[in-house]
Amino acid sequence: MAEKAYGLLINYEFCTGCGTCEMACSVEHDIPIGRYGIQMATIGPWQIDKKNWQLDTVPIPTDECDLCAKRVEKGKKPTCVKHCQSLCMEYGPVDELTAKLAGATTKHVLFVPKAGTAAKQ
Amino acid sequence: MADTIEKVETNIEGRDRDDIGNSKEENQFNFGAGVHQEVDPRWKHPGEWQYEEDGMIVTRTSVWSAPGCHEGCGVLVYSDKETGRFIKCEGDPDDPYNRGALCPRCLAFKQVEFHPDRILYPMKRAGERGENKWERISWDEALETCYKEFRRISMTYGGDSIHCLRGTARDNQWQVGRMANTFGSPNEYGFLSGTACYLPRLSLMIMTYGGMLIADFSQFSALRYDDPEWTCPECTIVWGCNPTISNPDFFMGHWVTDAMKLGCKLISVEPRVTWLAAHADIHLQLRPGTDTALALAMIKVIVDEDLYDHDFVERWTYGFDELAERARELSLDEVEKMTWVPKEKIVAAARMFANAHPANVVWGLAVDMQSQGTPCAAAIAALWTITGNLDIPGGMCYTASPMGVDQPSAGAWGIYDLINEEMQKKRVGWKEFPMYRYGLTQAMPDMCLEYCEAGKVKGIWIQTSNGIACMSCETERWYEAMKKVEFVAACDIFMTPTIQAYADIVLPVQTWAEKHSVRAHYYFLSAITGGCATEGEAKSDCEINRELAQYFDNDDEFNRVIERPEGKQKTWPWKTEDEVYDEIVKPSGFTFRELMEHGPAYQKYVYKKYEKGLMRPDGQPGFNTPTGRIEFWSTLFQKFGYDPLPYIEEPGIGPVTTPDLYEEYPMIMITGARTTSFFHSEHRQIPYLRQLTPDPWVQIHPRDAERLHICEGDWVWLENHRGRARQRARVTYEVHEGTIAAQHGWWFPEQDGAEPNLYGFRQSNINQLLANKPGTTGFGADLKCTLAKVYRCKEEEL
Repeated sequence: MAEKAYGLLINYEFCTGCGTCEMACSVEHDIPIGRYGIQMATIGPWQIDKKNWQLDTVPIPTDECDLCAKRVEKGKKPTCVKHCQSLCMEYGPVDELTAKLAGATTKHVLFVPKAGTAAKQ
Repeated sequence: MADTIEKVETNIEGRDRDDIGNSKEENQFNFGAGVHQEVDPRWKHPGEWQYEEDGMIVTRTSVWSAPGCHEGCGVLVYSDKETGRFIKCEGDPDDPYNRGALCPRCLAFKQVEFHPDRILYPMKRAGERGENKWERISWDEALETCYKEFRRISMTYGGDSIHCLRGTARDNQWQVGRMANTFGSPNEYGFLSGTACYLPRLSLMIMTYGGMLIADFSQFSALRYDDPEWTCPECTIVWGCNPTISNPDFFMGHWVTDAMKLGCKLISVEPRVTWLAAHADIHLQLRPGTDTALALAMIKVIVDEDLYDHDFVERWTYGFDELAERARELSLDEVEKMTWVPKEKIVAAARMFANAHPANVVWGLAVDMQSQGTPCAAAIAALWTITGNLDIPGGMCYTASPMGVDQPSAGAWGIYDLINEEMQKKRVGWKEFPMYRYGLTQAMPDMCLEYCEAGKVKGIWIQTSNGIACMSCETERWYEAMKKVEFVAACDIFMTPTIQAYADIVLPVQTWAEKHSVRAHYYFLSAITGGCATEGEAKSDCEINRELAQYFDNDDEFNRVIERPEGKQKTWPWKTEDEVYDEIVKPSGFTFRELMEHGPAYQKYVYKKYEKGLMRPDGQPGFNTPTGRIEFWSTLFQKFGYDPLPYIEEPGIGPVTTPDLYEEYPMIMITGARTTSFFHSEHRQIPYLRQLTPDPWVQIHPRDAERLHICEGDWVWLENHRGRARQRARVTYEVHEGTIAAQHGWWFPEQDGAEPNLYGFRQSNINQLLANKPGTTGFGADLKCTLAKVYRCKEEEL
């Protein structure tokens, strides 16, 4: 485990639920059918009022996610981040990501998956 | 309808209807074909075309079928250094088009490449058709059989008795057409009624705009959003399209979300609450098939409130007053009643769009998939034109022949010169539907079905088209008709119900990771580089065509009998497939090999080409139309006997047109909604993709589901007077109450492939409920606006 925590920052205002992150992950890690390293949650659609609808899709990393340790070691991005069609995912140390989160003007969520947690002191 | 309006000089004056539209000059698909262009000096791909990484070979390529897709994304293919076999692919981060991103279908490609069901060798039928008995043969035997049969048929019955079929094609679009011409036939097409896939829009734009237009999200420039000459649209209308899921025709859907991030407002015209609709500033949730009324109503608001671009309209268009008059006649109350869209929303959307500069429209298949798709396209195009968004940065821009390379309209690469004039005019529908002379010069599918039923079609050449499981409406009619054909040969990567049912010879096709080809469409020119070892004995579509053509090209007697035009006997005069591509890319100044090494080549896009004399063959300002102007009132339509202006007509089937049927089949049914899992009928055998959508689904509103005692996941029958199909209910507010949305293209590769099952192609095939019934112009069909009833399947039926 690293000294610092690492995570995935997702600007889910723009996640369209295309499924690219799920597939990129399955292919990269050869994940069997029925299991996922990152999986999409869909909330909605339902109508809130005359003008607004609730419909969010948010990818959630699972315990099978290793934040693409091998790719990151070679200086590459995790494959879900790299292939995201909406360019709404970011990988990095949590302190840097939280700084970005602090100025969020759109809907965001920060995941620190198991593989990204910091070593206990 | 006015017979004539303000007199202007046209180039169709005094010409006979049959003499119009038969030349390449009149059928301009993308501007600049054949005209050499310099590479935009501001950008070059920074990488090598091939290099080594971690002991693997990495090859840069573009992805086009097979399997199919419309995009042509930049991809890095990793292959084994020793064997050359495919290992994996990733998006090319330096490619301006997809900028490293990829969709699930490309990412899952390894399961295509090494799928145990891939066709790897040429085969001939070993039993009766439909028995699923095949015998491996040599390429020589396979091609010689095809040659002998097509030669016999062409010489006995005439070249036009051979029909050449394709799916949505891509690079093999021109190949299938040219191959037909080699056989001596003008007939190339897919099974789709009314060619209701882009062609209604395409031919409309060619006839009245002198070229094809697409929303400008900076994709014409390799610098993309950083290009100082580009402006982000202030508003976009996504109309009858779900681009973030479908990645439609050469348009990556997420360019829309990119623009939203940059502040672009979004209007969604869409019967379903898709992700884009739910996130739109204004969502116009219309009744399927009523798009024209909505577009004309928006024009009415813009005209009434004087929000249109007077200068542009006066200087560059023809028939605006007549269009305005037709729009003014509308009552917004009636439009609201017809479309289900509250008139306040129509007004708000019209104002938002007209007040935004620039603004554009991302339109989709829903425009084509209504019987009056042509006037619908005309109305929507008028909307972006009167608001002054034509050929400006961030507006609606003319697609280019990239670097002067004319591959797309090379769908007609051959028809104007490889077959004689008499045979050109034997193209099915040429006389009856003159709009088919504009665009892809295809044969008219609905008439071809009748020809096939009458036994006039004797030979069929299929290149990657799964007609009976995918495009054919009234599937049983096509199914029976095709049985009458004497000889059928098919090229594909997998066995399909269509091949099993009819093919006498099957030829294995290379995947995009194995083949060489060229990606030339709209914006840039790039090489499809292959890079991987070929599985089995597969060859590229192009190479199969080239090799088969040699037999015909060397057959003097054949060419004499079919009366091949003088000097055109060598229809494929190239020694290798790379030589074919050298020829195609010639206007760019590259050889194929040089292009491969160079990477995607972009020219510098020029806006407002009509001011600079770049749109017309004579170099004059204006547009390549009979009047030289954009024609809201089409002189060609008038000549061909159609209403020259956009008009409103109810779908051919529906609550208003067929109230009796509506009583019995009370749900309005949309078909063909995309998922990211599949490209039409493809990918059903790919485990990672099938996992995303294991079964066909139909969306149904929760209140309808409750009323009909249908629960999430239930198998239900969708049925109307034409037939029925079963799909699984997905209960969701995504559809309007009273409306259902069913999937298309389903067959089950895991099931028995022999007759009568043919991989279960009838079980869930929604097209059995649809009609072969084209619109007035021969284009458009009511495929996304029909009627059905829904009820639960009995347990014993499953």
